[in-house]
Amino acid sequence: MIRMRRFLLAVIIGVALGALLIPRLGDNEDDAPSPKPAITVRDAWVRATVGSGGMTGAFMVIENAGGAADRLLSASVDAEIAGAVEIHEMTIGEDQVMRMRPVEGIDVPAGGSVELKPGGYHIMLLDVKHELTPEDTLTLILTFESGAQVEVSAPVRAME
Amino acid sequence: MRRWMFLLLASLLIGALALAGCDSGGASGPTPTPLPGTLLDPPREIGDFTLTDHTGQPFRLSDLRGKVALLFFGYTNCPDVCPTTLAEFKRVKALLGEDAARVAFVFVSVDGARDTPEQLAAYVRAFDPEFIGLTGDDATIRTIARDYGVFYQRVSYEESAASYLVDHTASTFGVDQEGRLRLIFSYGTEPAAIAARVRALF
Repeated sequence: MIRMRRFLLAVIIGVALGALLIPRLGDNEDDAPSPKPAITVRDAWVRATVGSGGMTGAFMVIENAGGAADRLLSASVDAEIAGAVEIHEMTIGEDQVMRMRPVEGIDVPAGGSVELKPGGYHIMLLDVKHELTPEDTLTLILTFESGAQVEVSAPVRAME
Repeated sequence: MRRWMFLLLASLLIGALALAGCDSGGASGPTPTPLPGTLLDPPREIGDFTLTDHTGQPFRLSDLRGKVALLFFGYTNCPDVCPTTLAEFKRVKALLGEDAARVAFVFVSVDGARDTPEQLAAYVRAFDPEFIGLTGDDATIRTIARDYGVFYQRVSYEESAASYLVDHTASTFGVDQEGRLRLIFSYGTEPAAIAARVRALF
């Protein structure tokens, strides 16, 4: 009888420990909020610049495979590349006037995607520290409302 | 009998006039789909202007007499519309083939404060060494812009580290061989359509 109880106790403790430990076995990164990233980024590129000190845009496709909508809040690059990074939106009205303005974020629908492309959204690199040419590849870190942080490799493409 | 004939003739006459009014090119056959772009008819007389080109030399629009000039107003810090348009100019030039020698491709900066001739030179040459970049003082650019119906303004945002961005009209303008404004294209007009409209001016 006592052996049975101890056995049951051991099983209960074992199951409890297992429930705590097994989900963590998949964790490779300390700061990832979830084991599988819902957000992925593809086809990223940055437009080349003329000289330095100016601005340029980064474009890409952001995909959200997760079940919850997310939102791109900010992006960053190494300080040696640009002094500031913002999210901008370009619009052209019926008056044919192009306007660009900073926006607080870009929604990425659940199970959907959003494209940052000429004519719409872009990530703006400001105060570019040195001329960006097609030999360069930049690393951008995108931060999302969910807490996800995605590192993106973006080759520089020639102006044309 | 006579009334009947009169009515028939009158209807034919009215019909012919109506058709003539609808299609200046001729009343026979289906009306072809018009090419994108606006053809100003009559052409709009615009003033000559003098700006500084990307080599630092004075440049007059009248220097281009005898050629068709395609003009775009923008600035080099513009990451989207401006490089896209100049890339399309490249395609127009390629489509024109040998006729490209009869066309000038001109980028006019609406940001004279930042777009120096040197800056413009590197910019236009990144697309095509034959493209022309123009810059100058704001008062002159204002006058030119008014002639073309171009709007531009500096905008600053508290949320942005940029000292300013420039909102501007994104249309492409075609000036004919006599220096008159003839064509206006919306941003994003297909290069093939622009080339066809330009060819029609030869």
